[in-house]
Amino acid sequence: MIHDQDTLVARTVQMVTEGVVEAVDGTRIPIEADTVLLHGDGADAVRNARAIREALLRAGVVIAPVTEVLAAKEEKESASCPA
Amino acid sequence: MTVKIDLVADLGESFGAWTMGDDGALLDVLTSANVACGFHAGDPRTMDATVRGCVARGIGIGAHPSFPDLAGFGRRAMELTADEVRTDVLYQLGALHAFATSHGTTLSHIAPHGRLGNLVATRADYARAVVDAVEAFDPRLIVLAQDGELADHARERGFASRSSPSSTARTARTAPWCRGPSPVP
Repeated sequence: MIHDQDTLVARTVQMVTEGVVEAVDGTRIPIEADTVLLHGDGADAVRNARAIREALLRAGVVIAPVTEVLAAKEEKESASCPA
Repeated sequence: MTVKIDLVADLGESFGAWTMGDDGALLDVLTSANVACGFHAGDPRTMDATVRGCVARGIGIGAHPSFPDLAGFGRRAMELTADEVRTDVLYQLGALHAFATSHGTTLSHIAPHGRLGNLVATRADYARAVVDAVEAFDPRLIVLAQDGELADHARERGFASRSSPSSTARTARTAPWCRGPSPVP
């Protein structure tokens, strides 16, 4: 469990915007995510959730329900497929 | 290319006189919610209020089904048959669907909770049971899953009818972020 908020926020933004996660040994692991699951329990939960949302918005990420996220993906995929 | 992401958390996990979490605050942050369906948390009043709160903010509503384990918050180990999982999930989908309908909306996704949520990643029979329930209830439901059996099985059903306009069991990848003991998925 990452307790340091700055690290948590930075890694989340990196995962969403770059599609990679850095393991503790520095290895970059590709990850594809349509949603980010936030913990709702624990004293820091709400603060972390807010910080993550704000950081994602600052990074130019659009936050939307998964139906929209998938629709955008499907659109992108069909656009790049030969007719 | 704009990056889009859904911020999701478990909501509605209070039960009657017992409060769990700070749903009010989270409602201002999320774009989707996994709503407890009564088996690990979520009495009818809590489900009603949670759905209402989500509808008011345009937050996508998903089912958060669990093992039948109120005392253990759905985290305790129990040996269920695949058919018990299938029918338990159907029952919980139905319960939440009633509240969604009453508030003029529909369910958008499903994300199993707790012990069931862990086991659908490793047990093919449970994964199949969940996908069977989803397909029978509403094949348009998005299955939120980490990489594993549930994601594979849901994708399988989806691929089968990908070319048709009414696709079944679409899957979405959920980053196991901010949860669990390890920061690495």
